[in-house]
Amino acid sequence: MEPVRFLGLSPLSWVVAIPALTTLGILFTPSAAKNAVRRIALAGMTLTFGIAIWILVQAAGDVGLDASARVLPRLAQKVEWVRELGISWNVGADGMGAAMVFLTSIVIFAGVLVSWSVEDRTKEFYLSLIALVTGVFGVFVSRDLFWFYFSYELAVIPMYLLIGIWGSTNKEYASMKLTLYLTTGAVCALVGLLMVYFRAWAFLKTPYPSFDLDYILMARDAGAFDATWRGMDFQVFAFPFLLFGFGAIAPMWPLHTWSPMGHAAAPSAASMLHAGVLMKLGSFAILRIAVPALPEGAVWWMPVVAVLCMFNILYGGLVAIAQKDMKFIVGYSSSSHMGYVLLGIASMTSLGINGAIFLMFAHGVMTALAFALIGFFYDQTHVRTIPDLGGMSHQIPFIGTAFVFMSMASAGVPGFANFASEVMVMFGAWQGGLKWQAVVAVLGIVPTGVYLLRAVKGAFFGPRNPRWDGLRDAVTPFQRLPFLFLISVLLLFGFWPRLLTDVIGESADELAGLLARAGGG
Amino acid sequence: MDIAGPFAPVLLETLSACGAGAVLLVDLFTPEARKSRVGAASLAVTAILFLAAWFGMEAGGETATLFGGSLVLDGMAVFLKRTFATAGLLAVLAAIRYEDRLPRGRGEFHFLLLSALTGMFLVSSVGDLMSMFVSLELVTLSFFILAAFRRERPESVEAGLKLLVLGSLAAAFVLFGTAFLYGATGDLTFAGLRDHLASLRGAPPSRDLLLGLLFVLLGLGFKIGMVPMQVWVPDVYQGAPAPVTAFLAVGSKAAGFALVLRLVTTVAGPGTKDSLQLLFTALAFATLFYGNLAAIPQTNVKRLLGYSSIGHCGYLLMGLAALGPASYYDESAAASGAAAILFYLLAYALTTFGAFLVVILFSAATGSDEMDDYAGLSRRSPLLAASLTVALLSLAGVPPLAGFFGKFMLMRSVALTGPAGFGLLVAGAVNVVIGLYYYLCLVKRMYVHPPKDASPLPVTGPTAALLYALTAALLILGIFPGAFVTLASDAARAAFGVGG
Repeated sequence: MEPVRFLGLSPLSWVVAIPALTTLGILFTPSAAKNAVRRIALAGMTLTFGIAIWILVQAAGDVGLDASARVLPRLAQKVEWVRELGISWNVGADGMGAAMVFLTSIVIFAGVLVSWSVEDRTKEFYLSLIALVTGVFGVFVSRDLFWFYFSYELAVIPMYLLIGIWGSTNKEYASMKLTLYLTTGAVCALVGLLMVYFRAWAFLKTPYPSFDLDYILMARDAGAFDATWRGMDFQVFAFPFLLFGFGAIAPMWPLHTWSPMGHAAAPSAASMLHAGVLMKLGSFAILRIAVPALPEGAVWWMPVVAVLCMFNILYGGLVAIAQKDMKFIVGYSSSSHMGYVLLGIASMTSLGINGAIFLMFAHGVMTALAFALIGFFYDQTHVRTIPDLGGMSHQIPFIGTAFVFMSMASAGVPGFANFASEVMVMFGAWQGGLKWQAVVAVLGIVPTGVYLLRAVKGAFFGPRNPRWDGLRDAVTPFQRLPFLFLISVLLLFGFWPRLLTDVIGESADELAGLLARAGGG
Repeated sequence: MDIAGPFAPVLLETLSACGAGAVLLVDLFTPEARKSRVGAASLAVTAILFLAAWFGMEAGGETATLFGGSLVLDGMAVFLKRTFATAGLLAVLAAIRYEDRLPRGRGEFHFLLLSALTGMFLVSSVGDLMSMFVSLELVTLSFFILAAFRRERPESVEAGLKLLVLGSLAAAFVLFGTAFLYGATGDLTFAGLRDHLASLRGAPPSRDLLLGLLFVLLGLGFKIGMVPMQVWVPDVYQGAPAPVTAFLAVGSKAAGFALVLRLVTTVAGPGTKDSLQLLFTALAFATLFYGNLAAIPQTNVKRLLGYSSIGHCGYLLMGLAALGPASYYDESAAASGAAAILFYLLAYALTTFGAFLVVILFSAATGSDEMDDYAGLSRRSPLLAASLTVALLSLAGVPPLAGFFGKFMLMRSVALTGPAGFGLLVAGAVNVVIGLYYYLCLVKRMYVHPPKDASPLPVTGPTAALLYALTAALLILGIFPGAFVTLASDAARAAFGVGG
């Protein structure tokens, strides 16, 4: 099996290395050269987007082939980093990882474009933005617990600066709250990771312990995690550290309160990344680390998740109805949609997990579009509460149309990727025996329709409001590019979901099989 | 490359003692108008020491002893000497940026910095209890005077006096404990202590020995700012001249930990590890929470860093708690705790100087150490604000910086003690969040709040280069820690007698 390398690095390593190099490039660009900073960021992210597409295409080509003919395994790369601690730079991708890398590259590409108008401390803005996305990519490709955690933390801290400096509405409080919640979650997960790491080593008794995910999985198969820990089943004891630690960013109810506030305060590109990809880190980490390492713990705790996610769906949706601030609406709606993702995971069926990952993708693109649109008019209106807005479609018809598209996607209208994925989650939940949850999830669509239609009507339709006569629409192709790009992605995968579900399918099958063997499903 | 042959154990000590004398001579023959030469001489001495420590000493060589075992040079000593040499170089670089504010006695100031450094070099390789006391007092005595150096300022005098009075108390503790240890074993060398414990064959040692050990550890606890010996820290940090505070924060802590590590690696064994693990777990708990919680309401940057340094002492104590109780005892876990401490001290030295350098430059320009005056620093000087932010985030333990990797190593070593270390692991995790909060409060002032006074704060070329170098060092240590971890690990494993 010939490894695929460009200049010594696997494309998966490049997915992290290019943003890291872009950060360095921006660091050494003078602050005054704002356009140079923007162009470096755009160039780096375009390149990353290209690699992400290439990886996704390879993943799609792999479907159905036998192991020896596949390309994805050839992308894996392992370089010893710190021998004494068992840390290695270890990247690898499966369908799930490829889909998430693709999502991230889409969102950051659009995010760089919509941030073109940031004039205050442009260099620091792009520095934080690209540093953040370096961490996100790192989480999605990493197969070493150390680098996984490293990247995870790396993704959290720049968000503090992005919201604190360039944010709006109560930004100091929101940014601190977000950072402390997410860091608390991260260190909670770290405690879980270290417990798993210790058990694996204490069981396998190799000369050095190892953070390699494959080493952990080998220890699992050997029975390392079947021991007791302080009188409890180790898996049941350790799983909640990972579940709630990663769940804080997912955001799982009741750990979600940082999220709508953070969305509202963040600048557009940060909101896009935040809701588009940062929140997906949580569910991804649960699927990548927690479930494979501790499947019996997962089977024990998933019924709890199945209840908590109902609060996400209903509570998030109902609170969104009561909001007036557009960003708060989308923020609570995100926490409601993430409930569907968690429901899909909790169903422990292949269909449900597949739908959950697909929904992570679809929601990421949709919500990035939402925040890009809100940011576009908020930069000019400086208000975004519905009673102050109204009739804006007369002045900014392009943005208004795009917003309608976004709302239809979010409300689950067929033809958008969100519909396909949510249907998969609901069927999966039913199949997995979560029948009343499936019913509630279907009913949860109703509030979604209510708050979105209210927002569309209140902000964009109705009589012409002379107050907004000065608003400029997105007219140049360059301005329209990010919006059209995101809408086309949603439609493409809405009409042709198999492009993605086949790729994700094998990861989902594997996880569901693992859970079934552990006694669930 | 080994340039000193059999005298390698005293190479750096000899060089720095001679250098200290040379600086005094330069001062004597330099006219008042050209006093900056004194700083240049001192810088030359520390630069030579830095090069000699990093490139002139073999890290993995055989353990060498001198003077009948009162000085030893092993891997741990070499690692610590490198840390001290780095700290010494940075202390002089910081002092040069500060010395215009000294009313008199530049020569003495540099002399005392170098004599403290000599003491630190000696501390890293002590082999018996008497040389331990002498070298430790050399460090502490130099710092008494340095802390009170700006005697026109009452805070500075107060700092010196506090250090003197409480430091003498700590010295008394060490001596008292030494007497007990001598009474219990009839020997003053660490090797003798080790032999005595080995002869017990796993039986618990006598009460006199444990009591002596406890007293020595408490005395050393003063140097590292460990609860309950931490009361002097905030006042001295605030009152002492800033370069002295930085050097004290790094040097005193590292010197104290060098000795604690020596002592623990000597006495840790089947008969003592239960009590030692319990003791260090309790101390780490108390120190972590005290330091980090008390840092939250601070308004003065130097005081904030003082309390945070108590918190960092708590993290370092976690490495000692990694000894583990008998049921889970594992030499590699214990050694990984010691390795984590060595790595953390190096990372802490670089980070602390990164932070204090900005504090020195800021107070030189504005005359203030108040956190509120840092408002809007990112607009007045993006470089200063960015450097301080990087240093603070490294202290908080955020990737990809050196402090993150140090904390990760410490928490990992505690995790390796299994369920016994679980409580401490959670405490360490909680304190990371508390720490992040108060460090971010300062970051928030610099980046979010508008400046009270918008005048820009210019940074000269060499200073900017130094700030860039420190930031780069923090990034390198955080992303490519491999080589340093190997050095620290080999040293710690040798000290604990773990093979390969």
